[in-house]
Amino acid sequence: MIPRLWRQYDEFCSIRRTAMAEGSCDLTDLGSSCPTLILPLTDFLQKTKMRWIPPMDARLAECLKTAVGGQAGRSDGGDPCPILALPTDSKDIGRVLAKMAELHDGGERYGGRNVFMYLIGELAHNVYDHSGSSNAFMTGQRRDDQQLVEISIFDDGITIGGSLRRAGIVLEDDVMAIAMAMNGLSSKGEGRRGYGLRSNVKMCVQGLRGRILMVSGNGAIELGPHGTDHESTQDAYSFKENVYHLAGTLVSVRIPFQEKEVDLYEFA
Amino acid sequence: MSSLERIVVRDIISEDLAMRSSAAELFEALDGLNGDTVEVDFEGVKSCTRSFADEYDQRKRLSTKSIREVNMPTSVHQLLMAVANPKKKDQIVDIERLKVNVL
Repeated sequence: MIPRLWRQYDEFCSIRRTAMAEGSCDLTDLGSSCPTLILPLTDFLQKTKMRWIPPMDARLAECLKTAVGGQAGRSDGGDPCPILALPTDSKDIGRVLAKMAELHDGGERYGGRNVFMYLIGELAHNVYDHSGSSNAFMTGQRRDDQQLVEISIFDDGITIGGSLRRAGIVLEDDVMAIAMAMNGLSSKGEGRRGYGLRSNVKMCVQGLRGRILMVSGNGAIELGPHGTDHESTQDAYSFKENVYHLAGTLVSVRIPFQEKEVDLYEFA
Repeated sequence: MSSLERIVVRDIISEDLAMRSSAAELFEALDGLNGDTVEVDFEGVKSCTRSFADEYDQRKRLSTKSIREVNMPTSVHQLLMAVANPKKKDQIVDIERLKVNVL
């Protein structure tokens, strides 16, 4: 059973709410370094320039300090901070993808290198193609104790609903925008477009039997594997309260370690 | 008389082909070559996204050059086949049955 990703986003919202109320962000008790929580938190701390108290976990504290300080992907010594900032120019994305591959043994436990690079490559591509963001991060955390990996990508762009609206596609709310994007609707038009995200979602929940959470603007959808057939469980969240709003888009996946390589072409 | 030129994908982009813009960049380099026939060498390429494959396929169709791929990994070849013959987009999120929690 793979734990739901939503709980991590909910925890981020709780931390943010408390910080806004108190005027500083106390992360002393933060024990989790789950990417779903860490990436929006990094952006929040960067944007607000709020005073923050680092977590007790020295490695996590160092990593956050590096990323919030605008040095994501670098460190003063030892292991590089696994929070990687996406370069402004998409031509330089190869460096980030290669670093992710290096940090995760080429994704060999996650269904093979093809699957892993396809997953992170398409996620990064969407940031450049649709988000209009100025700040974006990617990270992954391998959990040997839970036999899974969690990978997240965050951008502070115009959101999925915003991208569709800009293209003249008006949907009832951000939940519907996320659902339609997952089903293959693209702001770049129909026909050949809209397959990238859709194939990633399908591969995650059907091929890898993992979970995927997308939070964007005032909505979120989490899909997970279900039963023995290929039907996904699905949960949606519509935010009426500002406390859950995300100024951007967060995509997180949890993939259980795979025994063998997965054929991505079944899902592409 | 036609002349053959060669372009090495990994040298121009990287071993991981992700971006549509990278495919566009590749074809800008390719179209700038003098030869009528260009050999596109995929030696050392390790992965490819559907987005890259789609842009490559479209650019190749529009190019005035005669293009021949060599050392193409199966992974890239299969994606090029997929984009040339796209499947119907079946529904992944069942919108009719989507339970929405209002928070």
